[in-house]
Parts: sequence; C-alpha cells; structure tokens
Amino acid sequence: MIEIDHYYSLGPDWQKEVAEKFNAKYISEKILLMPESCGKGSMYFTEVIPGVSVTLLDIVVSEKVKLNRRKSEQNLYILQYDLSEDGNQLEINKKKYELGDENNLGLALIDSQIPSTFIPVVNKKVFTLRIIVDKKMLNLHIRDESNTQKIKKNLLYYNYIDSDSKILIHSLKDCSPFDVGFEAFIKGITLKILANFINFYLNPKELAFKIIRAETDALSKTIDYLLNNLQYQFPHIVFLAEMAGMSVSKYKLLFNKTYKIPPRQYFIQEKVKYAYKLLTSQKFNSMNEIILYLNYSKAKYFIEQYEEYFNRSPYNDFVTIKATP
Amino acid sequence: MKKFTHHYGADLEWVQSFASKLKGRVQGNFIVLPETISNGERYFLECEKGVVALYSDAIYQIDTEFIQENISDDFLSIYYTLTEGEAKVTGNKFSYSIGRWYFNMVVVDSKTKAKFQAMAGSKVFVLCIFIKKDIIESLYNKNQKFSQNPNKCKNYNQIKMQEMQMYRMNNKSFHAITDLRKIKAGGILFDLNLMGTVNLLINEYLTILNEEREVLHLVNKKDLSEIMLSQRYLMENIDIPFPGNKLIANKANMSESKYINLFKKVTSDTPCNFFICNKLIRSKELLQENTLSIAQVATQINLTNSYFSSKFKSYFGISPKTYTKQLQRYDRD
Repeated sequence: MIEIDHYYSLGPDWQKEVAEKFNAKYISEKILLMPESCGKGSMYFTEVIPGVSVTLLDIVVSEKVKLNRRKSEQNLYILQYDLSEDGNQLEINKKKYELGDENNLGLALIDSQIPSTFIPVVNKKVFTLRIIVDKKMLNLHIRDESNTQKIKKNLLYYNYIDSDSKILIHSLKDCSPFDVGFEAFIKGITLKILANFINFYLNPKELAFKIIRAETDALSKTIDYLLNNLQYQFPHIVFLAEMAGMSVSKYKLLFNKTYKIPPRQYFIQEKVKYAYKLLTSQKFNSMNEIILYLNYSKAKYFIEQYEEYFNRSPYNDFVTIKATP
Repeated sequence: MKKFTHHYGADLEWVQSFASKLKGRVQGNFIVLPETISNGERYFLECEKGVVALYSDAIYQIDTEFIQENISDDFLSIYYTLTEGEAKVTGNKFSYSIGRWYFNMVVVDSKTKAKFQAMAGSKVFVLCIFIKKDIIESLYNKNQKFSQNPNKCKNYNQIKMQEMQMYRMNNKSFHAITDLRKIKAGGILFDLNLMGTVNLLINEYLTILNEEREVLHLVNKKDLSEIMLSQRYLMENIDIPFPGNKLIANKANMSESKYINLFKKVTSDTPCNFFICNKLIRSKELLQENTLSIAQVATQINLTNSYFSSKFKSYFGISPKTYTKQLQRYDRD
C-alpha cells in the first residue's frame, strides 16, 4: 500500500509535491504521469481563471493507494465530480462515503480546511474532475446562507451530478492531455460546469418529479372516468392502469405524485363528497335509499367512511324529501 | 448604406471609441446602439488577459458596413456567426457571404482591412474572439512537444497564415454556441458560460491549425455552396431517415465519392455521421423540453427505441433515461 500526504492550492505547487512523493514524471507543471510500478494514467492540473483551478485524475491503480489530504493554507472549496467505473472511498472524520459509479452520488463539495482521505478503487478506471475554487469567489455567488451552513454542518455536501455537467465531463474522456488545445478545452468545460453548479444554487428548486404531458393527459382521463362513475364501486386498479396505458406500479406512482393521494383513497373521498350532496338534496326518502344508490353493500361501511372524512355522522346531514303541501 | 470605420483589439481599449462612433453608449458590459441602426444585445467581456469576447445578437434596421482598420497588428479575430439573412465579408482580394448556412467561421489577421456588411432585416448573430497572437502561439507550441510523432508536427511559425481564412465550424462548436444563446446575456452565469464557450472555440481553432484542414476558399466555389446547401437540407429535415449518400450527392450534382470527400473536407465528418449526430442533439433538446417520453422522442427523430438509446449513450456518455432524471435548466427570465 502506498500512502501519500498532500494538500490543495490554486497554484501548481501542490502537484509538484505529489509528483516528488510518487516519484512520478512531471511535465511542464501540468501533467503528472503515474509511475508504472503502481498503475497507469495521468493527473492534469491547470489554472482556469483567478480563483478557479481544475485537476483531472484519470488513472488505473494496480495496488491500494491512500491519498491523505491535509488542511491547506488557502481557504478553498473543492468540487469533486466522480465518474469512475466503480465507487471510490472518501473518508472524512472517520465517516466513509462512496463516490462515483452509476448508482452512487457523484458530486461532493469538500472544505479544504477539513482533512480527508481518498482511496481510489483498484484495477478499475478512476475518473474524477476536481474544481478548486476560492471560497470568497463561490460565496459571492451563492448568497444563500443556508447552503453554506449545510456545508459546514455536514462537512461535506453530497449530491447527484446534473445531466449536462455529466455530458460535459464525459466529453473529456475522449481526449488526452497531450492533445493540442486540451488546456483550452478543459478550461471551457470547467467554466461551464461551474456555471451549472452556481445556477443550481442561485435558483434552488427541487428537481421536480418529471411527468411528461402525454402521461398527465392519460391520468386526467382516468380521473374523469372515476368522477363519472362515483355511483358504482371502485373499478380495479388494473383496469385504471390499463386505461392510462401504464403498468400498475407506474400508474400508482404517478397518481400519488400528481394528486398527493392514492387512487383508491381519492375515489372514496370523492364518493363521500358526492354522498353529502345527495344527503342534502332533499330528493330521497331515507338514507338507505342513498346507500343503495351508491352501491354500498353495507350501511355500516358507508357510515364509517363518511365519519372518517367529515368527522360527523351522515344522519346529522340527512334532509328528507320535501313534503309537498 | 451607412458606413463606419472602427478598430478592435485584444484589450478593452476599443470599446469606448466603437460605441461613440456608432452614436451608442457603454452600459456595464453592454454596448447599446441607437435603435435606428439595430436592436438587440451587444456584450463584451475580457476572458483573460489578451482574450476578449464580443457577443452580438441583433437585427439590423438599415444596410450597414463596418470597416475594420485596426491600430495594432498583434491579434487575431475569430468570428463565429449564425447569421440569418444577408451578410458579407470583404478582404483585399475576395468577398464571401457569411452566415449560418454559408461560411460561419472566419479568422482575420488584425493587419487586414476587412469590411463586414449586414443588410437591413438580417438577424445577425456573431461571437467574436480577439486573441493575442502570442497566446495562440504559446498554446499551440506547448502541446506540440508532447506529440507522439515529433517529426510530423510543425511549429506555429511554420504555418502559413492567410490574411483571411474561411471555415465551416464543426458540429460541437455549432451546438456550444446554440447552447450559449439559450442563456440570457449578463450576470455571472452568462459570463462563466461565455468564457467557457470561448475556450472551447479556441480549442477548435487550435485543432484546425494542427490538422491543417484545407482552407475552404481553395475549393471550387460552386461545389462548396452545394455542400453547404445539402447540409442545410439535412439539418432542416432532421426527422426523416437518412436519405442515402447517392440521393444527396445527386441533389448536389456530384458523384457519390466526390461528394463524400468534399463533405469530409468541409465538416471533417461523413454525411451520415453528421446527420445522426444532429439527430441526437435534437433529441437532447426534445428531452429537455420534457413533454415527450423517450420512446416518443425516438419516434420523432425516426430511430428505433433501442438504437436511439445506445447511440445516445455512445455519443453523450449517459443514457437518455439517466439524462432525463437529473435535468437542470437555465431560466431564461
């Protein structure tokens, strides 16, 4: 196992230290080539604009490597985007997090003042982009205090990578740091990702559950059906899902998300409301007539449901037929 | 026709005089021109020392000619344009139509006297990058020494520079610019995106220099315009299945092999690949709009569902399903 101590800074000095400790080839203060003894790949570093730097780690290690990051002198945030083949381990204050991989969260925001340990997976492709940002620069744009508080409290902010940033990072996989114009390319990608990150916090809206229009139309079709057939029993959920052209589980899920109530519950609620209308309509001789009309098999069941919704007995609401003088 | 003589530069010194010559004013990073000439946005930004971007999206009210006589000759101007309507660039020796469906990437040496004409009613969109020659040179030379075959690579000084070079921008740049256009000008988000886009475009220019892509004005003018026309045809009929090289070559009055060769020269891509890539980018836009399901999008661009998913994944790196899950958009307002 190789264990290496390092820190981050906006300038290239930190990378030099890493190169010396690794005994790695270091080219023009930008590219660090992994020594063959412990793996292959490269680590690229460049300054982007004042206050923003970026480093791209694209390696496959053949033995366990532990990268201990110590507190840095500069006050920085590190935005870590991880698109590795398998989950990498990140240890902060003895708490372990998994980063990277399709199923895991890929974005972590780390405070440079708190030490952490990064353990890349062995014999799998490790691909992480770290944007090193001056705290002052980022705080200037993320004015919302609650976000900065969140970062302080959890020591680490942890999220999904948004799709467009993911595509941008993937496009880096197609080129090599030795390409002409790679420096300009990675700078461009970094700035766009940073803009996406800031945009997310400037307009902090929940990533709304996405329902496409065709699906909303199908849902409202089934709702119409339910409302027109309040008099009868609840049609089977399979029937409704079929009507909407979805699987049962998808139908239930979408229904829940849109109307915040399960389909059956929704139907009962509407049915009871309808019953109230009938009770006060003065068109029925007895309550039993209404219960029969609404196709309840037991009066007790109806009364239960009614009481649950209105918190009073249906007898209190019932008005008999108007006696014709 | 209204004529203006002015100059640009790789610093912000030209801004004030440019604005006053056109009877406009400078407001923050915007240059506001009188509405009698054009209305729209004109935004400048110094991306880093020696790199200045000018973003302009405007409709011209009268025929206008900009005569560019630069004071210094130490920079290059790279113009990326998506103009719809009539616009022309004239150098010492030649004159070309520029715009979305013509030449849309023009590189002008600052010592050249260039005239830009925009006719009334044309929607002019230009992203200009003014960059110091020594920055380009150092960026270019820096990576040359890592090159795998050092015999092949050339020093920057050995590259023959025309006074004016005309290109068609590649697909990636085209869409990088369209993406930028979706964001409202002004503010930190736009600045970061603009700087990012400028860097991506500089990368493209460096790649072109390295590839020694044939400078397009050496190709037969008529053939070239046929190629651009057929590109336009493909882009405007993105929802049909690929019509086949034979058919579009016929349309352009060329043999199939000549057509493909020329197409590769212009776009550095084959017609079919060009078409599929644009389909995929269109599908990404459709997914962003969030009104259609993935299957419906696949039908819309005329690909089968599974083929679409695998192509999407190989082009963008993530599957359409993952893409829709973590979508985040810019608010235009």
